[in-house]
Amino acid sequence: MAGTDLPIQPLMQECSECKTSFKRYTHNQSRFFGCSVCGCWFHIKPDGTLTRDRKVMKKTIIRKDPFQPGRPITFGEVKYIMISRAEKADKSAMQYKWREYGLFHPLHGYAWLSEYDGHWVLLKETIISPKKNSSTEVVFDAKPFHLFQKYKSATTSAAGEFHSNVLNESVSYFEYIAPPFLLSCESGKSYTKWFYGESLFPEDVAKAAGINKSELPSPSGVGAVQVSKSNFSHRSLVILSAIAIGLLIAIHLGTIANMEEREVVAMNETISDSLMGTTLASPSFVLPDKNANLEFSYYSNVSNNWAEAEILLVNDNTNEMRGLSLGAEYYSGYDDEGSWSEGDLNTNKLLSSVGPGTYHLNVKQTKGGNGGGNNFSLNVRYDVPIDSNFYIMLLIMTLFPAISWLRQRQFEKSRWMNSDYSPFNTWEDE
Amino acid sequence: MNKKDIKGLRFIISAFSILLILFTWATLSGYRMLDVFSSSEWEPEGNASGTHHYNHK
Repeated sequence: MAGTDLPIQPLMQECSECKTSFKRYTHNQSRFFGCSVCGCWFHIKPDGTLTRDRKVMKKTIIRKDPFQPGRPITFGEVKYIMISRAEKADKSAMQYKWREYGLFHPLHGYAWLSEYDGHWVLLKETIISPKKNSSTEVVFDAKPFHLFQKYKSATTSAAGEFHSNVLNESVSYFEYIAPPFLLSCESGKSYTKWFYGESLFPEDVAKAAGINKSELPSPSGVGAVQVSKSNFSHRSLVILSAIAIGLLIAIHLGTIANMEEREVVAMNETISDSLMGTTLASPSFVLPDKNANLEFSYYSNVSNNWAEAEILLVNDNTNEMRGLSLGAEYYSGYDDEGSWSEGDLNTNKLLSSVGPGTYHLNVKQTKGGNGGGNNFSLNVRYDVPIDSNFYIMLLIMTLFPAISWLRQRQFEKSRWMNSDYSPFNTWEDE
Repeated sequence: MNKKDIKGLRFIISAFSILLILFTWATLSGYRMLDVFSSSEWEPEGNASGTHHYNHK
């Protein structure tokens, strides 16, 4: 029968005030009725006649709400009919309002669709009471649920068919969450019921009701049991990142082991002031048949002075050139606070991806005034490990789970902002 | 694991694969990735021919 039309025909009911006809789907199970057109509230007598409760003022009916009693709505294989709509508010803070829609199927029973700030939860009553672990935690279906909110509610408007006089009763709620699941304990004057529910995205609700998502209220903030729309779980991302970082380390160590790391140039020169700025040529050297880097290490013994070497790497076969500059500067002295110094006598630079061939270097040394700089040494090593590549990749691969964690944490903090029992309060606000 | 999870994880696996391939290529070809942002190399003008004023010992 699931997924088909209701197997029992509804009773026809006429509002005795505005004469509008309605269908009553739960037959004699319903004892109260609210007219969604004129807003009057009735007690249903056993013979089906209505007696208006004149103590209850006409309630505002939100006609723009697409969910009015009588609308079919399908979740999974079950085609429910919406039998009631009630707007409720927190008794201690009446500005916090939510809506509850009663759903009915003759074989599958009742379900409740709840909406607060555009966030939806579908609930069904459960006969199994959760096990209480502590004052703020219960266990249900082997999952721990944490207390999110407790409050008393008052119904501010109601339409459709109801079992009890919802407009005249106050109900206490204890809500426990384990997103996307919700456990709600509802206590009236003479009963306690547990409801178990799961969060729904607005698009799921719109699809179930056969309406456009734009007709539903836009979600605001993070719902009590809303799940993130992230396309993957944080745990999966952490596992994948760990695997990727393991591979990165393996590749890094493997390539380091196969690197040549040999010196191809070692110059140690002294130039007189008159020859400063002239070009010195290094002996030629041969780089083998692969692309690799060259690491240049420059040193000049300057004191309160600077020196710089302009270096050209020249391919002897093609005459192609690549240039770089390396410098040394070092200054020191005394002031009110004692001795000071700045600068460095050494510089290291890397030339990326040098192809095979025979090369030599043209080196032009220049310097400032007096204070050394006539001596310099230049060492060039071929095919050295580039640690910065490894650390850049390590950083990027760590950023993925780190950003995911921060986003998840921010999401959870936003969720618990609506709760008096937030786990973030105790240690973060200090 | 639902379809959405699988789609998301595929994206992450692809991203990590690209990063590992990029790293392997850069390492094997001696390329320093930081050169994309800042290279110590400059473009020489002219050519390298001419007299070398100094002959290494």
